[in-house]
Amino acid sequence: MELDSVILRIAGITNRSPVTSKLHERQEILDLSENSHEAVLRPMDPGGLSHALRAALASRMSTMNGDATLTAHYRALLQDDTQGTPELSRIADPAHAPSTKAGEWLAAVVRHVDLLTASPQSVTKSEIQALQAQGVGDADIVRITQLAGFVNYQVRFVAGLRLLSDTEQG
Amino acid sequence: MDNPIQEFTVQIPRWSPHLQPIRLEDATAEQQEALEVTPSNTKVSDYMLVLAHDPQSLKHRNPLFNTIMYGPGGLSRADRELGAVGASGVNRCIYCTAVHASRYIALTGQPEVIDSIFEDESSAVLPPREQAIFDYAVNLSSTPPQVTDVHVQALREAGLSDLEIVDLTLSAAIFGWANRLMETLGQPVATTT
Repeated sequence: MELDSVILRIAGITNRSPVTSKLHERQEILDLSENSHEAVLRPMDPGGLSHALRAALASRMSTMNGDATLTAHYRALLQDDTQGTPELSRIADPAHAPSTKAGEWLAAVVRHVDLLTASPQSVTKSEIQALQAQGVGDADIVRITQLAGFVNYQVRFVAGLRLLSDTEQG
Repeated sequence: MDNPIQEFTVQIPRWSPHLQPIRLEDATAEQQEALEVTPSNTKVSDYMLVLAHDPQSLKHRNPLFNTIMYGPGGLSRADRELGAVGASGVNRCIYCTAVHASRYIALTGQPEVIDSIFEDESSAVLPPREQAIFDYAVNLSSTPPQVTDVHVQALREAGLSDLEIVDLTLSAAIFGWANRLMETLGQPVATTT
């Protein structure tokens, strides 16, 4: 049986890697991770968060986590998306903080994604109320949080697989 | 009183949502499916009712979480809980830490491991096997992750197989997700008894 998933590709795991034999026992987890990737990056009901914005935010979070391969994956998703814009390409890089001139809603969403990634413990009730005051609806707040949660899970799953593969005892 | 609990504890707090949970009686078919609501299973937590605002992500996340934490084979239940505690401590998710620290104690009868972690957090000194598991989970959980081949080597020396290391990676990684939901969409408050 051939294994294929975004996570394995990003981790550089091929069907010839010794660790692959262990991963066959975790096929269900790889499949559910792949479904989750689809659900947060390209959901059927994206709400207020376009697929292009999701790809840009995922790229931003991947860079904050120091993962160049995952960043390239999300950059490619953004580039392939017809709704991509120059502003979204800038947002894909965490060095860029969008000014409120670009829109208060977008600036609030990006700021929240940064907090979710770098210091989730600092997100208090008043942070959520500030988002709501900028017009970010409750369902969109949950969508942003699930996207950030997934990317931060994926970064760590990939990091562990890479280390295991690199230090393989054969 | 709505003051969030700030200190690590094994007393499981009540989770108070920052957002309005959906009303179960208003749930769409997709939301009911994601919540796994059945005629015999109609008790749903506020946490799940908040997550139901985005049913497509919830539908896959719940079985993913359960398979990682409770699936058969590989790493023991207790060691997965220790991975969850390591991650939840780094992210300072008081609620998740309380739930999974108390499960760890129930499974192992080792409250002293949790006592050390609560006291010294990421610099806790533990027995060798627990130390290797905890240090790996902690270093995987920072942003960016700081885990290295030294941590993997320590796990191998502690006797963990590659499959067990995959399972530990997953249990810590899934809490990189769960903590971010639990500690930002609501807060832990004292139970009123």
